[in-house]
This record gives sequence, C-alpha cells and structure tokens, in this order.
Amino acid sequence: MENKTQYWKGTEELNREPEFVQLSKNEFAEGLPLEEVLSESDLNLSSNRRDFLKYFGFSVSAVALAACNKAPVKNVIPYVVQPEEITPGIPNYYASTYKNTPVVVKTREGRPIKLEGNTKSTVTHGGLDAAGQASVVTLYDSKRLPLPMKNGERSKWAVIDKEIKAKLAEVNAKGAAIRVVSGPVSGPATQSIINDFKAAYPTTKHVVYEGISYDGIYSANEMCFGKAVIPTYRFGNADVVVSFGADFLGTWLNTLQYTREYTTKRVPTKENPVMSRHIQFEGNMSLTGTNADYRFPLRPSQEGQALMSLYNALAKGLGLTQLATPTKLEVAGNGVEESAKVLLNAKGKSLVISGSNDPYIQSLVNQINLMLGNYGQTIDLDNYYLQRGGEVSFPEFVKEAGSLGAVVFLNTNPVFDTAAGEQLKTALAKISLTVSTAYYADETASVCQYVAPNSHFLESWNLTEVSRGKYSFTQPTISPVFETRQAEESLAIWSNNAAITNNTFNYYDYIRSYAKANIFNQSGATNFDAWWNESLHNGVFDLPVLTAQVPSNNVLASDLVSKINTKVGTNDLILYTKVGMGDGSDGNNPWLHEVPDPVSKVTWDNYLAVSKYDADAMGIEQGSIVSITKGSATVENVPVLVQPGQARGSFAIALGYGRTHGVKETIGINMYPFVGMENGTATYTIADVTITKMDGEYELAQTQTHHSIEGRDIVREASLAEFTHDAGAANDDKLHNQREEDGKLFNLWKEFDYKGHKWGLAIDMNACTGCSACVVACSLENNVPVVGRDEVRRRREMHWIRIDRYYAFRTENNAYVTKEDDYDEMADHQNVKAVHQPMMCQHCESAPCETVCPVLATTHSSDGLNQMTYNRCIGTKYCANNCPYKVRRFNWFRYNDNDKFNYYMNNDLGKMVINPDVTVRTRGVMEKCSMCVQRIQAGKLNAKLEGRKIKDGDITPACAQTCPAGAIVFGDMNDETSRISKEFANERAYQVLEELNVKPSVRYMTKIRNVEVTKETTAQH
Amino acid sequence: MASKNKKYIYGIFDDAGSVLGSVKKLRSQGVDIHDCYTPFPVHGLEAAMGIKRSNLTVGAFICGAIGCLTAIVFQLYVMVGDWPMIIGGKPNDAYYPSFIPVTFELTILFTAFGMGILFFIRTKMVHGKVEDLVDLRQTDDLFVVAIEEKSSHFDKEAVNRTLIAEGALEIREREYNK
Amino acid sequence: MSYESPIREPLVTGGKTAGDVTADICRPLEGKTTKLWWLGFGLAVICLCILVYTLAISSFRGLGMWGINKTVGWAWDITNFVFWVGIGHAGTLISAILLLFRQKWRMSINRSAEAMTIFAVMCAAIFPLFHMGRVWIGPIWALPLPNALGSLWVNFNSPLLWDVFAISTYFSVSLLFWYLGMIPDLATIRDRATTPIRKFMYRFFSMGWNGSARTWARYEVVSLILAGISTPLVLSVHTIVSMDFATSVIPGWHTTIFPPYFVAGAIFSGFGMVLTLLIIARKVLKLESYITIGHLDAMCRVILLTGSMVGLAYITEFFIAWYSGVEYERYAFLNRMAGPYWWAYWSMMTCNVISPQLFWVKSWRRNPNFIFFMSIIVNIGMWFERFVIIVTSLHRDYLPSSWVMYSPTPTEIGIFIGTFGLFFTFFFLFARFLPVINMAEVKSILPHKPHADSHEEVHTPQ
Repeated sequence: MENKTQYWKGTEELNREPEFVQLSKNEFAEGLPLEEVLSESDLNLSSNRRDFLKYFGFSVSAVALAACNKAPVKNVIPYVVQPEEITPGIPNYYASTYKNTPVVVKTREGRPIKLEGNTKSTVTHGGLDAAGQASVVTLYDSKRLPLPMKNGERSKWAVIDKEIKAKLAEVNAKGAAIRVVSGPVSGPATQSIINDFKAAYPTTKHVVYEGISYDGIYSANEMCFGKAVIPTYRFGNADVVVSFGADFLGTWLNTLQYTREYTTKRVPTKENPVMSRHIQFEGNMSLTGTNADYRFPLRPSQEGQALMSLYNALAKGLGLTQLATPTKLEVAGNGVEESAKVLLNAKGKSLVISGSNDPYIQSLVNQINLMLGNYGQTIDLDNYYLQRGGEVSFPEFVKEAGSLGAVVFLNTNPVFDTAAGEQLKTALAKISLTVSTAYYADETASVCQYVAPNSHFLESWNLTEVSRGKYSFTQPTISPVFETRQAEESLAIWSNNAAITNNTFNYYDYIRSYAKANIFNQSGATNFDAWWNESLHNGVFDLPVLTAQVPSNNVLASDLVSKINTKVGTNDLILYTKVGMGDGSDGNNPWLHEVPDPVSKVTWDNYLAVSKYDADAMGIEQGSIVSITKGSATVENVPVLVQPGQARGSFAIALGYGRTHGVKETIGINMYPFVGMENGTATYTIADVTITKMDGEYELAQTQTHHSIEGRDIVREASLAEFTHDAGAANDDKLHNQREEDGKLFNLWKEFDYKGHKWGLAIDMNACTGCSACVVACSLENNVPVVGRDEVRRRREMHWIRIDRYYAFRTENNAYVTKEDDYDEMADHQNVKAVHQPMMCQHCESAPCETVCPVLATTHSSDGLNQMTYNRCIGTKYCANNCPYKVRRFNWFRYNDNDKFNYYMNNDLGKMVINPDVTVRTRGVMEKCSMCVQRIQAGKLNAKLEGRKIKDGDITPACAQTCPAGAIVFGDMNDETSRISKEFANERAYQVLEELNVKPSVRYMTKIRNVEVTKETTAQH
Repeated sequence: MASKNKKYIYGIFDDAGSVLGSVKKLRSQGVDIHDCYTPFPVHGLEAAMGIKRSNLTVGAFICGAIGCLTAIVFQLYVMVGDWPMIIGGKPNDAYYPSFIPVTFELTILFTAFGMGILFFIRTKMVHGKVEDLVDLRQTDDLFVVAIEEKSSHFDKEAVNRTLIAEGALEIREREYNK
Repeated sequence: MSYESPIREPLVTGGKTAGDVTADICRPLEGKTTKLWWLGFGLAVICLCILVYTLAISSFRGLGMWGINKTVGWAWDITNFVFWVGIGHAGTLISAILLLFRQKWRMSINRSAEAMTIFAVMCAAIFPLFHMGRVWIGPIWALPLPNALGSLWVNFNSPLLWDVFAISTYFSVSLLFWYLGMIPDLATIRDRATTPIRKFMYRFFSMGWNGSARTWARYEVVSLILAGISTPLVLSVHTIVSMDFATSVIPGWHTTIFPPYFVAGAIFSGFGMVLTLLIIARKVLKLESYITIGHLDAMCRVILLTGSMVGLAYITEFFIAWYSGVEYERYAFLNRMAGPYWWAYWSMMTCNVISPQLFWVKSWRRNPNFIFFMSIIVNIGMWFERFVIIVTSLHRDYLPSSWVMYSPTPTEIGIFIGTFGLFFTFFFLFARFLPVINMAEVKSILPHKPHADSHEEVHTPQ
C-alpha cells in the first residue's frame, strides 16, 4: 500500500455533511458558469449532476496530497444517460478519447470505472483494444506523479512555472536552440498550442518521434507522391491482402479500424459465400499471421528479395518491365508466385503492405500497389491516417542535443524508448533547461530538471483528429486526482499564450474557439453552441470524406533495387511489439502484463522466440536463458520460448519491456538499445546478432501450456470451397442417431421449461482475431484480480474469458498433425496454422457444476444463466473439477487488500476503479463468467422503466461490447427475431463437446479458411 | 422383616462347563436361578436359565424405519417443498434416486444408536454406575451362579449340595436389606 | 454350531487359561510406561504438531499454499482422504463381516482393527474439511441446518453431501460398535484396578458391567445386529466415496465400476494397514500367542484376493475405455499409462497387482518380516491408486488448452505426514490405556476343561 490516504467514495458522506458541500463551493476561485450552461436547454441538463462532479472533484483532490485549487469539470455533456441527478447505482456515460480511439467512459458516483468503444465512431465502430480497456487503471495509479518536481524534489506549480518561464526567456534571449519533443501530434489544438509556443520562443523547433517509428512509410509516400502521410488502408475493400511482416491486426498502426474492416470480409454466409484471402509473409508468429489463410515463414532480411520477386512476378503478369534483381530470388517457397497469381486476379481490390520501416522497401510496396491499381481503392492518401509533423528529425535532435539551450519533452520518454537513450541522457545533463510533462517519473523525466506532471486523459479536455477530418473529443470525467496539469496548459502558460486571461489559461475555451474557427466553419452547421454540444455529446464529429485520388508517382522501381538491402544475414533479430504492452509507455499498468500474449500466451515477460529448428541446433529449449549481442548492445538472461511458426534463422523479442523508472518493478528486458538505423530510419529487424546459451533456467508464465488440439472435435473448420459447396461443411452432426424427434439429445430428465428469456452467446471464430481485448474488458467489468507472474506460473490466472489458441503443424506432404507425439518428432515447426477460440462459462442447461455443489452455491436462473452465489460458496472446488470446459476460477488467496498482490486492488486509490455492481470476491470462493449479469439486470430494468420488452442490443456483455471484430453476439434465444437466434440457426453453429449433453448456451461458428486444400488435408489428424 | 430381606446363595466356579451343568441340575430340581455372572458369554447359559430371547431386534427395526422415514420426508421437504432450485437441469418435483444414499445412511444411523440406547436403558447401564459384584474375579476368570433364597420351601442344603457336586470352588451367602 | 476340529491349529497358542489372558492383555495397561512407548508417542506427537502447523497456514493464508490449480482442483487432499477412509474399512470389515461369517480368528485382532478404523476415519475427515476454501464456515454450511434468513438448504444431489452423511454415520456407528465391544473388558480392568483414579475412570466407562448372563444375552443380540448393519454401511461408505468420481463427467472418473472396485481396494489397503500395525503390536506387546502366524496367514489370503480383484478392476477399466469408443475416455487411460504421470501408474500396478501375487507362496505368507514389508508396499500402492485416479484424470481432461501439471507443495506433504502423527498418537494412547485384544471373546475360544457329566460342547458365542 503506497497510498494510505482515505478517499471519499459514494454520496452518503456528501449527503451527511452539507457544510462539506458549502466548503467545496467556496473552494472554487472562479465561479462556474452554471447559468450559461443551464441555458443550453436543448440538452435538459440538471445542475445537480455537475455540482456533484464539482464536489466530488473537490473532495477527491481535497483529500489528495494537496488541495486542488480549481474545478476544471465543466460543460461535460452526458453521453447516454441524462439523469435527474446522480443516483447511486446509476452510471453516467461520457464520450472521450483514448490516444486515437474514440471511447465512452462509464462513471459511477463520479468515478470513471470502465472504458468502452464509441459506437458512433466511423473509424472503430465501437471497438476498443486491450490497452485501451486497461488504460482506465492508470488513472488511479499510485505511481503517478502527484506534484510538479524540481530536480527530483516535490515543488509547486507557481515555483516551477516562474523558473521555467525565466529560463526559457533567458535561453531565447541568448538565441540558443529550444526543442519541443513530442510523439506524433494528432490533436490540432495541441499542435496550435505548440505553434504558439514556437511563436513565443522563435528558436524553438518541434521534434516528433515515436518509440515504434513509421518514418519509412512517411518518407516513402513523400518520395513517391510528395505526401508525408500514413494513408488509410481500406481492408474492407480488399479481396486479397498480402502482408509482409505487418501485424495490422495486432500492433501495426490503426489496428482497430483494420480489424473491423478486415473481419467484414472474413465472414462468409450461405447466401454470399465469399471472403477475402489473406497471405502473410513474416518471421515471427504474429497475431495477424495466426489469422492468415496462407502464412509463409520469411526471414526479415529476405523481405527485400521477396518484394522484388513479387514485383517481377506481377510485372510479368501485367507485361511490364521487370526489375534487374541481383540474384535469383528463392524465398518462401512458392509463396510469392501464389500471391502474385491471386493479386493479379484482384487488381484494384487488393492490398500489399509491409511492416518494414525502410523507406525504400515501402516505396517498392507503393510501386506494387500502383501496379495493382490499389490507390484510391484500398489505399487512401487523401483521407490519410496520420501526417508527419515536426521540423527536426529525432536523429538530428540527438546529435545536437548537447548544444541545445532548452528541451521540453511533451509526454515522451526517449531515454527509454530509443536506441540513443544513454547518449541522450548524458547530453541532457549539459542542457540548461530540461522539462518533461511525463505522467510518471519515467526514465526521461527522472533526468530532467523540471517535471510538470501531465493529467490523465480522463481528467483532461482535448480534441483529436483520429484520421483526416474525423474528430474525437476528450472530456474530463473527474477532477484531477492529484495536483497535475494538462501538458497543453503547461506549454501555454510557459509561452504566455495569448488566450491567458487573469493569469489562468482555460484549455476548454481554447479548444472551443479552435473548433469554432477550424471545424465548425467546415461542418455546414449553423448554430455553433448546438453543434458543439451535439459533437461533445456524440464524442465524434466527421467532416465530409474527400474522394480518394490516384496519386502521381515520382519514383522508378528500378531505382530502388540498388538501395534495398538484399544481403541475407544469419540470425535475424525481429524487434516487435506486443498487443498489450505496445511501446512500453504504460509499463506500470498491471493489466498490460497480465493479459496473455495472444499467440504465445505468455504473461509478465518478454522473451526470445526461437524456431524449433534453431533451438535444437543451438541446444536450447523452452525455459533456457540466452544472451543476445549486436555490436555494443548486449542483454543477458533472456528467457527462451520455442515458437511454432517462427521462421528458421529468425529470432523475435518484444520491445517496451524493461522499464526501470516510474514503475513498481522492472519487468522483462529493454530491447530498445538494439534498434538500428538503416536508410535514415530506425529499423526493427537486426541481422547477424549473436545468441549464446547461458547457464540457468527461467520459467515463463504461460496461461496455456498445451498448444495442440490432439485431434479432438473442439474446433471445427473447413475450406471456403467446401463451405460454398455445403454451408454445413465440417459441421456434420455426429450425434444424429442419438437425437429425439425435436432434435434434442436423449435426456434422462424432463427438461426445465425456460419461459421468458434464455440468454446465450454466439461466437464467430472467423471474426475473432484473438486480440484479447475481451479478456481485459471482462476483467475490469467484473473486478477480476491481477494475480501476477508467480500465480500464473502456478496456473492460477483468474480470467473469466480466455482465448484458447491451437496450432496445427503442417508436414512435408501437406497434412496437418495436432497430436503431441506426432509433431514432437517433426524437425521443423515453421509451417503451422492456428485458430483462436474464446472460451468462457458455457452456461450449460444441464450444468455438471451445479449438481455437485453440496451447498447450492451454483444454480441455474430461470433465464438460463449458470449463477455463482459467492456468499454461499464454501470452496470445495468440486464444480471446477467437474467443468468440462475448465472455466471456473478459484480465489486461492485474498487478492484485494493483500500486500502480496500489490497491483491496484490493495490501495484505496486503485480500488476506485472497482465496479460497484460486481462483488469483489473473498478468499476461498469459486468464480466464473456471469454473462455480465449486472448488465442483464440493468437492461431489464431500463426496459421495464420504459415499459417495453427487451430488444436486441439493450444488453451487451463487456466482451461483446469491446470486441473490435464484433465476433461475440449476446441475446435471448427465446426471441426468434433476435440476432442470436439467427446465429444459432446458422449452418456453421455448433456446440463444443455437445456429446456430453450438458447443453451449453454458447455456440461457436465453424472456422472457414480461404484455402485451396481439401478437407482431408486440413482435417485435424 | 423377612419379607423385606432378600437372601442369595452364590456358587463360584472356575469353569464355564460346571456353571452350565449346575444351572441345569438346579433347574431340574425346580430351583429358580436368579442370575449368573461370567467373564465371557457362555453359550447356552441363557437357555439353561430359561431367559427369553431379547426383543431388542424389534426396537432396532422400529428405529431404522423412523430413520428411513425421516430422511425421505426431510429431503422431500428441502428439495421439493421448501427450496426447489434448478440444479443441473434436473427436475425438482419428486423423490429422485440421488436421495437414496442419504436415506440409507440415516436408516443405519438411527438403527445403530436407537438400539444402543435401548440396550443401555433395558440393562440399566449408565456411565459411572457402581458395579455390584459377588467376586472381583467374576470379570476375570471366575463364574458365579446366584440363587435367591425363597422364604417358601427353600431347601438350602440341597442347593449347596448340588453346587458342590457340580464343582463349585466356594459357596457364599449374602443378604440384602431393601 | 461350530466344532474346533483338531486339524485346525488353535487360535490361541501356549495353553493359556482365562486368567493368563487377562494377565497378558492387561500387562501393557498396568505395567510402567516403557521407553519404547515414549519414543514412539513422542515421534507421533511431533508429526501431530506438523499437522497443526500446516493446517493453520493453509487456513489462514489460503489454499494457494497447496499445489492445486485452475485445472487440478483436487490432488493430495482428496487422495489422502480416500486413502485413509480405505484403511479404516478393514476394521469394520473384520469385526462385522467376519463376525457374520463366524470367523473366530478375527477375535484377537478386531479390537485393534476397529480402533484403527476410528483413528483412520478421523485422519480422513481432516481432508474434506480443510480442502474447503472457506474452512471457517464450510463445515457448518455443509450441514442441513435451518437458516434464520429463510430457506437456505444443502444440495442432496451432491456426492459431497452424501459423503458428509456417510462419513459421519460411519464414524459414529464404528465408535459405538467399538465401545460396546470394550465394556466387558473395561469392567475386567476396573476390577483389577489398584489406584483410585484408574478405578474411577474404568468404572465410569464400564457402566457398572458385572457380567450378568441376562446382560450378556442382550449384549450379543446388539453386537449381532450392529455387525449386521455395519456390513452394508462399510460397503456404502466407500461406494459413496467412489461416487464423488463416478457421478462426474470427467473421463477417468465417469466409471460405473468404481463402487465395487473402491470397496475391494479399501479392504485391500485396510488389511495392509492392520498387518503393519499388528506385526509391530504382537512383538512389542508380546502377544504372539494371541495374534498367531495363522492370523497373519489368513489376512495375507484376504490381501491376495482383494489385490487380484483390484487388478481385475484396472484391466476392466481399460477394456471399457477402449470398448466405449469415446476418444476422451481412451485418451484418459492411455495418458495414465504413458502420460507425464506414467510413474505413478506403474508404481500403482506393481504395488497393488503384481506384488500381492507373492502371497501364493505359503512360506512367505507366514513370514512376519516379509508380510510387514509387503503391507507397506500395499499401502504405497493404494495411495498411488487414488493419486492416479484423481490427478491424472484431472490434469488432462477435455480441452487441451487447460491441460496442466500438478506437483505438491511442502504444506500438502506436511499435512499428509501430520495425519500419520494424528493416527499414531491415538494408537499409542489406545495401546497404553485400553485392551488391544478383546479379552472376553478370546477367553471364550480357549480350550476348556472337559466336564464330568456334560457331553455338550461349551460353545463360544457369536
């Protein structure tokens, strides 16, 4: 417990102490413009709620380390619910933005407790990824910087503002250079604040960089088309997707949009049996790779060659001049030819992408897409995703760093997440003014003179341009928990921004006026206030979409040949990022560590992924530790994971781990020092690294330790051809001769008749990419505890929903084996296919768990739910033993209020994220998926209040809500018109382990792969 | 007064066979045997003394029946009457086979303890009761035949003779003033 | 009517008289406490302390102190539970079933066998109690008690609840049976008692017994009926224990053969334990003439029989698994033989099926040292049987995604060792303060003086 202060929670205290309210009123320096807001009658808001937020804001900050001296909460527009007043138990929803993702924030009694995707967004359509789901936890992180810091000492805003301004003026007077270092700025208002800053201090230049750099794409597009942008890729228009190491479903750029659009093309129906074909070339087994129809292991150092040969194959097909390639290119078997064939059949409806950061490789990709006529169709440069910002490139900045006058790090941490970190660290010591607006005392902030802690986005106002012309608003849903200040505000104050009135800068007004001047005028709306409130209310606002043009090309493919590195090295090291951890900026968020890697199912560590072939050759195995060396960079004690699908000669390890500052403990190994430079941009594939076995063992904490399906009829899959021929392919009823007239299996008892509702889930394994967003969403919705590495090692993770991932291993004669004994003998595991199967409580009608509970702690509800009564449970664990799906989780320890589990449930601040609608389970009781029964009850209640029947969409469990692919459908099986009834009637629908006749209420859709092979060879032997 | 006083003659033997023999002899002479005390159950002795077979078995049966009934009624009350739940999709409207084990166990439990208690009541045995012995060794290796001296035509001499003849080690007399 | 044929060797050797019997059997009770006793008792108590400690930490910190996990919810705990219950069964079996079968050789061993039953069931009960996540309420909530807050009852469909009834009934009935059988002997000791305190204690418990023929008559009826109901009881108890598994859906558990197979196993392991104890007891307490080689021989035959029955059950299981054609069943059994826990399976097979066959050799059957060794083997084997059934079935069930391995923690091992402490603590106290052999019954089977004018055999009671 790092924070012993008691926090005021709930309204009782408020009601009990009116003088408390009085106090809080006086607390506000400037009165709130309540009347003005109240006059906005078009939204019949009541002041009570806002007052409440004020008081709450006050009370939280009042009891925080120092009193907050103003109330930034104003004019927030409730998103869905507009209650008469805050009633305890009734959540309020506000639209906001996490990074580039429009979200809706669920608040209870004024506390943000859950993020959900904003369904109004035309980009994400309501999806939210694992990291986004987890980000609400960081709001209540006790490692946050509570106060401004000066030389590592706690200070006061007045003090540091004064000194920083003085120093800036001094530096500026000397004409010494000032640098503002930020990540890519997707907020126009933020950008204009930076511009104001530059205006105030003319020697200022803006440095933009990312730990995970996409400069290659910017530069390539600049070279080819003169547009330094990252285009919007339209997977929804692509019948063929060929990806070279781009993990576009996992971590590559705007994954939420890609996932949504990609999956719309991946679900064939009986009426319309078409789906896109996805071919993936990659070295490491990425989430995207597991979803590909064809996956060709390809070492990154061969990517150049592969792309050239693809170019030539296409050129040949189109009768264009081929490239004079240095060598005959023999990579990835027949993969390139195959891809060329299908690409040529899908001109204008295909998409070729590369994960490389090399501008020349990206240019070659651009040329290929040009050849295929994909621009304007599947690639949109005009409605771009991101635009390059800044004047000074990061490498230049590092070079000149020593001689600078002042540096302001805007929410960036280059000391950690760049290869030049150490070099920069030493340089910073020489600079007369170094300021960071970090959220934590991270690696960079801890070597800066001043830290002006930024507020959490849930405490901030902002405006984000999610992609060109698509805006998303960020509204504060709580007063700053600590005495933090939004970075934009700090910049404005330091640069004496023109918008400052009587010594306070009001970013809200700034954004408002910015929007009025730059967005409203293009919106075509007439009444600004109405437009503004409407947009805030929706959280998103889109300008009209431009028609995508085919760009003019300034680059000859032949010129690129010489520039592209075709030298095939040995031991390629791939530095990738994980779905959860990303670049590591949220390194202290326990959920990003606890959520298993979608492919390897490893938690709480990064590791070196090695192919079985290389592992055998090097005499290492899972659990060995190795050292990795490249030039001066070297790391030791790296745990090894033998990864099926890993290309021979390639090794992969995740970036973003090994944070040392601003985190509770250092987890994993920092690989940023290995990031290289090639053709002027950072490269994440390093050739010729030295890997040596070390003495010792290290057990990785995996949530799944058996990776094949052992030929069992648990996942049913067929090829598209078979599906077209027979929609029920691979789903033939093996129990037909055991069925009664009504199609049900023979039953000893007369069944319970479910009048009214009967809830169920349908899960489409073609849509599910395995991204694991549902795992985090479920955990936060249901107060599932983080248990940590050691407990996961003991196979005791608590997730209510897990995603089972099974490999099938392809033999030389194109058969797939799944039996341990068979594939253990194979020399090579680089040709595998994988399937993801979300698994949660199946809410069986004849639940084996219910019968065996001696105290009736788990019983069935009359609307078909398998319920857990925590208070009644005595913890015999019999139910878990008797569960064929093994979805029940036992509270082995008391995970809350326990210093041994120092994550967030053991301190008062962290506990604020707990969902008050869900019991926090005590030690010794069983728990499991409840199908979000609290949401079901809320939905029923609403319908009742509105005096109507429940309709589809009234109730959405957390997993279904967040799913970027919309793979999970919840509904009432007794309602013929509901979506789920239709899904269940689908020829692809089947029950897992139906032969046990436990009658699960969850059904899965067969996995259809767009492959040419016949059933015999795909069949899981 | 004589009527208030009970006088007993005890023949003490060191062999089960002799006890049996003397008891038979005495009965044939028309002498009522008050009781015998033996360190272990001597087969045929109760017959020779003319003790009727105990009807504890009937008691046991009744107890068992009560146990069985209790179990059935209680389980029906709990699972059907008072608190019907949907458990594993099983119906909750009647007596189902899954109630049999508990029914069985309760039957046994009631039988065993019912009969045990009846036994202690019938034999007036209770914890801490002070024993009433003729000879300390009657629980070790001596056997005692007890005959009540009836006031009416009781031939003490004959009895003693018989006992001696049957090999009694010793003959004692005791008078109880009740 | 039974006739002691001269060919059959006497059940009590050394021409003992009733007086000798009393003297011999009361000697350990009345003599001074021996160093050996103190040593053994001391060791037992130390193990008992381990039990208390390990149970305390698993109750106060949580079941996370054990090695069980999301897939293997039961392991050492229930293994040990079934192990101890099984051991307990021999006592009831000997005193009840052998009594019904008029097996007189039981008479000198049933007392200690019943004592063993009681103590073993106490050890067994520890595991279902402490394997509950919320041990502080579980034991009460598992009872069908009325609830102040309205209807809140237990689930009579649950085999665990059947266990509650079966085990408690079994324990209390065995206790009653044991105590009833001891009353005459307590009286004997009472009448030999020299110190007032001993007099008082034994008097208290002997309930004024004076060996009246009328009492004896009723006493024998009661013993007979108790024996009669104990027999189905002992069978039902292990049947119900086996139903914990048999009624589940887990491959390897879901088997109708379990009840007979478990009962046979219980007798098997029980006799193993009885032999272990008696072979020590007869030496230490110098009771060779009461617990004769003949007794050991007879018990070895029972072990040979039940061991073979268990072996037959193992083979049948495999056949049915294959014959059912259910891939999960087939895998479960292949996994037992060739899976990660193959060693447990093969130790079970060697100890339970192969080694008892050595008892076909008569000379080995009559060699106490060899028997002692074998009895240990048998119990190791039976422990492994339960481990195999529980852990290897759970650790790889339906969905391969949740397949895991299990290994015990020091806490679990400590609890197991601790239960031996509990068992032997009680057993040492029993051997010190209570007659380890039923004197009354033994006296009744002594060869007796032929009587002058009675041609009738003096019969021993049943």
